[in-house]
Amino acid sequence: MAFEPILTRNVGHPEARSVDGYKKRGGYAGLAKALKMEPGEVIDEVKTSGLRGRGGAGFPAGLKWSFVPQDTGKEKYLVCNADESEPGTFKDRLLMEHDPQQLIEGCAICCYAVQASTCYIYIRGEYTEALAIMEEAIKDAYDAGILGDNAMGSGFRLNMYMHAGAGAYICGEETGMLESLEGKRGQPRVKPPFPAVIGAFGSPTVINNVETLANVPHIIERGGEWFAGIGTDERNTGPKLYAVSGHVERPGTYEFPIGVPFSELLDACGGVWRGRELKAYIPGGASAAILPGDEFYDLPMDFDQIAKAGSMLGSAAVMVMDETTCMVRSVARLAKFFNHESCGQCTPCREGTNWMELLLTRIEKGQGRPQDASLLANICTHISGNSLCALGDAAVGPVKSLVETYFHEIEQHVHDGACPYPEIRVFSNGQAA
Amino acid sequence: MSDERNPATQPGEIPAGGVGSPTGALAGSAGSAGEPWPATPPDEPVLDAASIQRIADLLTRYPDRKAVLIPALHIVQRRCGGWLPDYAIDALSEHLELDPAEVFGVVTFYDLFHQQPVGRHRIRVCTNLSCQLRGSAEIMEVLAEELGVGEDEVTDDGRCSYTHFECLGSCDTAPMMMVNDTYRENLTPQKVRSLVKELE
Repeated sequence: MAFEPILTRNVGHPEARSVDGYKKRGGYAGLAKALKMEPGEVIDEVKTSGLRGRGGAGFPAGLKWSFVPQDTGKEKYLVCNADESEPGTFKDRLLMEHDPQQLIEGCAICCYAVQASTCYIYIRGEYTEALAIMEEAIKDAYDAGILGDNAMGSGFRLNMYMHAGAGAYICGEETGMLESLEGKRGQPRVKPPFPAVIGAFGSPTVINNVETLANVPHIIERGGEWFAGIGTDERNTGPKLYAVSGHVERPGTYEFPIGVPFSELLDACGGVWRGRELKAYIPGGASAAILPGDEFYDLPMDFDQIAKAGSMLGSAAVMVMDETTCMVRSVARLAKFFNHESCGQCTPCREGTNWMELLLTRIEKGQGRPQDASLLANICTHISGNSLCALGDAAVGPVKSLVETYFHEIEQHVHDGACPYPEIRVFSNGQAA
Repeated sequence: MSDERNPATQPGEIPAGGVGSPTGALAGSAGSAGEPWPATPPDEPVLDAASIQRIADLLTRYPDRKAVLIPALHIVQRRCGGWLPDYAIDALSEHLELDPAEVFGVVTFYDLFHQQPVGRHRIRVCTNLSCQLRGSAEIMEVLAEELGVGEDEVTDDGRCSYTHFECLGSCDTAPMMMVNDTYRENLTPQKVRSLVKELE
């Protein structure tokens, strides 16, 4: 049975970018309903839905909201994480460019639930088009009385602002983002205290990803039970956007119930391009371990099943690699990324990512030494668990899987003194040929 | 499932220039902003009345004035033709009453802020894995050939500079690059050559 899109239902309906157009397509029913509920009831509904964070960590959203203390007398904040910098991920850009009001509605409901009267949407500085569209949509929402001193006539005060970053992956880490929002270098903070208690400007703060918040209007409108009925089990609920890239015929953002088998997702993308065989795929962005295609062909793409397979759902950025792909070259590129993006605060991450790039680059160039694979494994051990934030562990993900699963490719590079795989050229029509 | 969705690549849904103006107070500073300012202070002030007003408007959004720093740096960089000369950083530090060292620390942390002059047109090529898998290395080669300069160098006529960049979030249209504020997608060597020729 065909799955009716929920999060992407307004894609292809540009009129939904305005409040009027969005309302005509059923929008703002969730917020209207939420404003008539008690804030605690809204949180309970989200808890019932089982919604887990879509940014990477998969933390239960309702639970996160319930951690915000209501008795401190301080201002409270929602910071929407629209930094989307995980390589392979482009789903949040789609949500902002095609359905900005859905995000505004989700943010507004969250603000009401935790009684925050200010929301910042922290968007990466490169997303100039999404930024312009969001700015326009927010202005429209103010004009329509959705935002402002009297949100939808409820008496609830809510201000919402876009805040553009300036190019730093680490600002997607929640406390790095808060530092950046406050006008500082985006270096993650020591936790605890967690942002729910001391977040932006020293105040209680909720931080949620764009896709997480985009789910919220639907949960309130149609009920947590309805939402919990979508997906594989009670720990993996709701619709999920999968951003598929790499060697498939039709890369793009695909919406499925969470837990769709990889094989079905691949079919939806027209399969591996050029009639080639699948070699491997990354299920959840650059930080996730690489999975061999044959062994995990039918893997259900949810939080727990992918974790059991030794990788992670992460941001659900699925990168597909065909049989001609050099795994050393691929992982070397990711290592270069993590080295560049390490904020430099923790020695194991700063030094370790540098060494990982150096070793992998020399192996790829055919200058690797026999002991390099074990040296890489050793560096992984020393970074894991030894940095303040998750970037260190993220950097280890792909490298560790290379050493464990594709050890023979490292050996071959070292033995041959050259990369045995072909260079990658653009296909003349720019698409799968 | 029937006819599968590929919404991100459906053509024609988003107007080419987006809606609203990319030169708004918060827009990224990636755009062509005319001639880069010289390395020594010109006669005109770094912060003109319009910039001061835009910064003042933004200040009302935050409980702490320091929070306006990154948006303000975007404004100043755009005004200075795409880079941040030292005197511009000093001027902004003074205006916001922040320690210059602190402001320099922020400038050096972020990839979109530049302390060297850039070309009138600035090209950023995504070379991360999804683009690498679809040929971004060749896009870099074509740019080197067409422009006759190395990465991060400016052409003699000041027209262009290019650099590789981390994932730009457009992996479904790989290989891709950003020319000033605009994403150029599904690139081929031919397409890159003609895009470069169009830049003035």
